[in-house]
Amino acid sequence: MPERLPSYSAYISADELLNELYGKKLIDCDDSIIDFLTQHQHSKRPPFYLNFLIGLGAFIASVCFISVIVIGFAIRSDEGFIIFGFIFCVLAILLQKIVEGSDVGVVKNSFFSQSLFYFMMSGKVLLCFGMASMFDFSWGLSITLLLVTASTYFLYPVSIDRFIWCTAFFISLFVNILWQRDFVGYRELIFNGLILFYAVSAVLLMTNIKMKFDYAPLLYSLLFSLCISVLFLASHNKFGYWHNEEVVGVLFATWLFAGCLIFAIHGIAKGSSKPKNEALVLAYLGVFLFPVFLILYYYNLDISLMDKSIVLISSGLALLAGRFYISFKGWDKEIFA
Amino acid sequence: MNSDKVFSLEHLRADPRMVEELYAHDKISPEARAYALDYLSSANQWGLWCSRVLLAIGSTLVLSGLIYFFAFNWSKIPPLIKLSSIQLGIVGCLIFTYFYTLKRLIGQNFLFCASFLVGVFMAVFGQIYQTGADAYKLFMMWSLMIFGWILISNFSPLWILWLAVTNLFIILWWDQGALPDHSMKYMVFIYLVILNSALLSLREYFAGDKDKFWMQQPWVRGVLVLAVLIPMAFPIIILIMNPSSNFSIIASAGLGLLGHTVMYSLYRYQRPNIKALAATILSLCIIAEVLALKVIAELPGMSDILMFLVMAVATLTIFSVTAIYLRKLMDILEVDHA
Repeated sequence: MPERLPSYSAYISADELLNELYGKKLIDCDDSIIDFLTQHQHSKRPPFYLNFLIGLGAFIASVCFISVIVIGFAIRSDEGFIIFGFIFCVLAILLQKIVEGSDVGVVKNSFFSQSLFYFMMSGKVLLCFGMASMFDFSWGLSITLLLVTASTYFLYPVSIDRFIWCTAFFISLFVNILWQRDFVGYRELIFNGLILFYAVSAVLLMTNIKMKFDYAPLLYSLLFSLCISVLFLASHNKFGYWHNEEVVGVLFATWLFAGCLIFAIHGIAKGSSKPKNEALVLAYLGVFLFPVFLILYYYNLDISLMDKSIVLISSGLALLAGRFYISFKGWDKEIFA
Repeated sequence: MNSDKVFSLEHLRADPRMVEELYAHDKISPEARAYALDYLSSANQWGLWCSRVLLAIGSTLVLSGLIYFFAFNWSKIPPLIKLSSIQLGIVGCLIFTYFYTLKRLIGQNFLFCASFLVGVFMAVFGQIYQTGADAYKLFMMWSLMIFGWILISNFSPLWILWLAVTNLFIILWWDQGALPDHSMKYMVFIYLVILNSALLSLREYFAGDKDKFWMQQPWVRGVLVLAVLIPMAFPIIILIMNPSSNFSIIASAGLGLLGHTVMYSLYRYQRPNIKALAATILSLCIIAEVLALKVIAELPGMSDILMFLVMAVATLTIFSVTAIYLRKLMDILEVDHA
């Protein structure tokens, strides 16, 4: 019989989990937990294909409706963008509160929520466009993004919206530092300081056991921005103004990430549960972005094809040796679902 | 726990998100949360994950290194060495396949590598001898040569590789070999639907066979359903965007509509599966949306504002009806399975 492809985890029912916790005296025999799970089971989120369908429809409808408003009111000036952006944002927030408090059913709730999401996105884009134009200097966009994101973070508690706008703000900081003419001479110091700030903030958020869902988008945004920064520097690290070429080094970031990786591996090998449980989603992000980094890194290596082949094969053999070591130690024993 | 509840928690799968929601609503303590998360995660989850990632990335790096090596030395390597080294790779993979047997994943992976190297061999052969052959012949020979292996492999990814190669062969053959005239240009969609439907039918036919569990993985059905739906939907959308009396586009679109009906019937009544059904319904929804937007955009005497407003209403209607119907189907199919 051919071997089955193993699963990462066996099926555990909610009943089994609660009994386990009760047996360890970590919870009481309390019906409120069952009631909570029952209620959430019946009001669970739609599956991804339904969300995709609803999202696609909401996107098209929102684009059409916003076109009606923009064409109808002939928005052309910065003030017009700001006013309508503000109106869209306020409407989205108010209507979201109404939808959340009503009992319209899961599908309608999801449809309204997604439509309001596109309203909020459009409102923020109009707001940022208008305000950034009014500020009329390079940091204007970053300041605008900070104001818009901070003011709506708790008023409009939608994870994807929080993630997108936090990421936009962090990326804008990154862009300003790399291309701002005022930083000639100490650009590398400021950039690496920014990397350190992102990394420390992410670690603080990740290790804070009391971190609620509210801050998860911020954490993912920090880590995603870090990844984007590294990927960009893997492909392009020379910034030149008026024939004064500057190189932003990646040595500090390399040491920082290598240290984090060693620490994480050490923690995992010791059986620490915290990295396992809280970083699984981030691990999938890493799996997606890591090949991109490898492609950029090796493609841009300034060595001959022959030397590249030696580097690639050596790197690959080192990773394969790691894999066989894990297998030899039995750390990859499989669970069949 | 209290067993008087009507709703049973045995059918509710516990996952980290559930634990986080319980904790966020102060239903469990921090200690209970940490223990629950640890209980849900397999002790070797990360080890298994790391092992697979290292294997995938390590193999990719080694293969990339070999490609760079050949690229560097290409002009200096005699044709005999070029071809024989690839053949050696194929033979080596087959030896390892025999050693590990097709009952083990590693053996199946080696057969996959051997199948892939056959394609590399065909490409190098064509490049060395400059036969002037069209690209479709490369894919045709590749598909024919590995067909025997895929029959014995019991390995879904190899079947998907063969399907991709064969689809490419058909598309390229139609363009380079068959050289159809304008009236027959779109017949290629029909051939793709026939091929991919045949494979999907085989998959569904053996769905209940315990010995064929390797093709029963949900992702296989997902890939095959998409491979069937896309060539069915494309000619319909093309016909809507550019109405014509071209026989091939009308025939392809007609087959597409018929195919959507058959798939709906199959996954609604005979082999109930909500994801395949949802994909079929989504495809129909997109077709309806394209038709609606096309009709509205071409209505005479409409201002831009009115056009966008009608489009918005039409879109809301189409997608709302589809979502509500899909939701009802989800409830019906869950009840049927229960």
